[in-house]
Amino acid sequence: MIGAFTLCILLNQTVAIFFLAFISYLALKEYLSLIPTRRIDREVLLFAYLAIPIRYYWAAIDWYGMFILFVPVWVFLFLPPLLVLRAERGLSARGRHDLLGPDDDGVHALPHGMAARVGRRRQSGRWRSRALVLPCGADPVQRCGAILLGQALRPPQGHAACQSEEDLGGADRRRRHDNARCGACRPLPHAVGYALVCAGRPHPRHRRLPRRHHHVGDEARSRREGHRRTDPGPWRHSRPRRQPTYAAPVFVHFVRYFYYP
Amino acid sequence: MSKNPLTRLLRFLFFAVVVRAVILVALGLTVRHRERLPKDGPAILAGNHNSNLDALAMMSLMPLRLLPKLRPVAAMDYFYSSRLRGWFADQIVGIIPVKRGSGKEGGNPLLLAEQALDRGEILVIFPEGTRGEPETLQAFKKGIGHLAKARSKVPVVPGFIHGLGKAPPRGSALLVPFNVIVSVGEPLYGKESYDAFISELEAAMTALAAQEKLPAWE
Repeated sequence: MIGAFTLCILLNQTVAIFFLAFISYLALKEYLSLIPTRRIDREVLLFAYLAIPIRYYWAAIDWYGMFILFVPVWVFLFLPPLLVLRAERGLSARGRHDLLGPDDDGVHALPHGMAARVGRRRQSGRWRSRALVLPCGADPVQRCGAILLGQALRPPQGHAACQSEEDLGGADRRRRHDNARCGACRPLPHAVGYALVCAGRPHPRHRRLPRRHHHVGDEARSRREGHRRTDPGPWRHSRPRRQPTYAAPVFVHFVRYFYYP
Repeated sequence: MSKNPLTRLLRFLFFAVVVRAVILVALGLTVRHRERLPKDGPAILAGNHNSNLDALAMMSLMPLRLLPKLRPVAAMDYFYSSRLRGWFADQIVGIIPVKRGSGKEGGNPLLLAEQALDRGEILVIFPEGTRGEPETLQAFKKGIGHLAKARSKVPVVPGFIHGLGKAPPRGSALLVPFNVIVSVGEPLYGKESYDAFISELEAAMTALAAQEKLPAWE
C-alpha cells in the first residue's frame, strides 16, 4: 500500500487524487462499519460518502488544500481504538457524543478553519472565515451543551403528527409518508434547498464584471489594470465555482444539527 | 435461463463488471472459511435474507467459471410482477421461480429446483423465505428441508451474511456502503426428517451469526 501510494504521488496528480479518494472511501466505510449507526442515519451517511468526491474535486482545483484528504484516515486510525477503550457498543446519546466529539472538532472545525486560514486571496479570506469558521464555532458550543445537559438532542424520529403509514398489503408494502414541509421530519431536502439557495446567491465580492474589464484567466493583466479586488473567471463572473464554499457548510451543518446529537 | 449467446454474454458482463464491482470493490466482501464453499455443483448455498443484494453477494462468493451453474431460488410473485423485472430476473440473474404457497395446494413448488440440482447446478436459497431485519434470523420455512431430503447427497452450505442488510435494508433502494462479511459453515446433508434438518441448519446459522460482533443497528 505504501508503495502504491508513493507511486501514485510520483506518477501523476490526477492518479494520486483518485487513489487517495479511494483510500478515503475505504477508510470511511471501515469506520462507519465499526461504529453503531441507525437506520435514520442512512441519508446522512450517504452524504458523507458523496462528500468524498466533492472534497477531492475541491482539492483538484486547488481550493481546499491537501490536508483535508486525510481526514477519513484520521477517523479510521483514531476512533476505533477509542471505541475499544471505552468498551461501549450500545452507546448512549452522551457516550456517542463524547466519542464523536473529536471527530466533530477534527473533521469539521479544524479543516474549515485551516481552509479559511490558508486562503490565498485576502479579499475573500475574511468572508470565507465568516462563512466557515462561525458555523464551526457552534460545534464546541453544541458539545458543551450536550455534556452539561447530560443528554444530547434526540435525533429526529419525526413528528407523530407529520407522519403516517400506508399499509398497502403485506409486510413489504408499507409506505411511510412524511410531511414534506416539516424541517425536522425531512431535514435533507431542506438542507439541499438551503444549499442551493446559497450556491445560487453570488458572493458580495463575486460580481459579474463589465465586459471591458473581462480578462478571462488573465490575473496579471487584471491586476495591472487595477482590478485587484476582482478575480476574473469564465462568463465574466468572478470565480463562480467558489460558490460551493458557502453552500457546502450550510448543507453539512444543517444536516448534522438535525441528525447528530 | 436462456441459451441465447447474447443473453449469456449480458449475464456474464453484468456479474463480472457490475455485480463484482459493487459487491467486491464498493462494499468489500470478506469471506470467512472460503474453503468450505462447494467446488462444483450440485450444491445448495443457504443464507440469511435481509437485503435485495443477498443473492448477488452469495453468487459473488463463487468463481466466475461457475456462473452458468448458479441459480438463486426466488419468489415468483415478486420477481414476475412486471415484464422487465421478470426478464431481468429470469435471463440475467437466472432465478428459479418458486410460487409461494403452492405446496399447500398440493403441488411441488421446488420441482424446478430439484431438476436444477439434477443438472448439477448450484442453488442459492434463503430459508427464511423473505427479507427480515439486519443480523436477525427469522424462522426457517420448510422448503429447504424438503429439498435437502429429496436430494440428500447434495451438500447444503450455510452462509451468514453480516452487514449487507444495512447497506440496502428492506424497504429502501438507497445503497449506503458498509462492510460485508460472509461466514461460511460446514456442509450439511439432508435427513429423513425435514424438521430435524431445519433445526440443524438453524443452529448452524445461529452459530455463524454469533461469530461476528457487529455494532448495533437501531
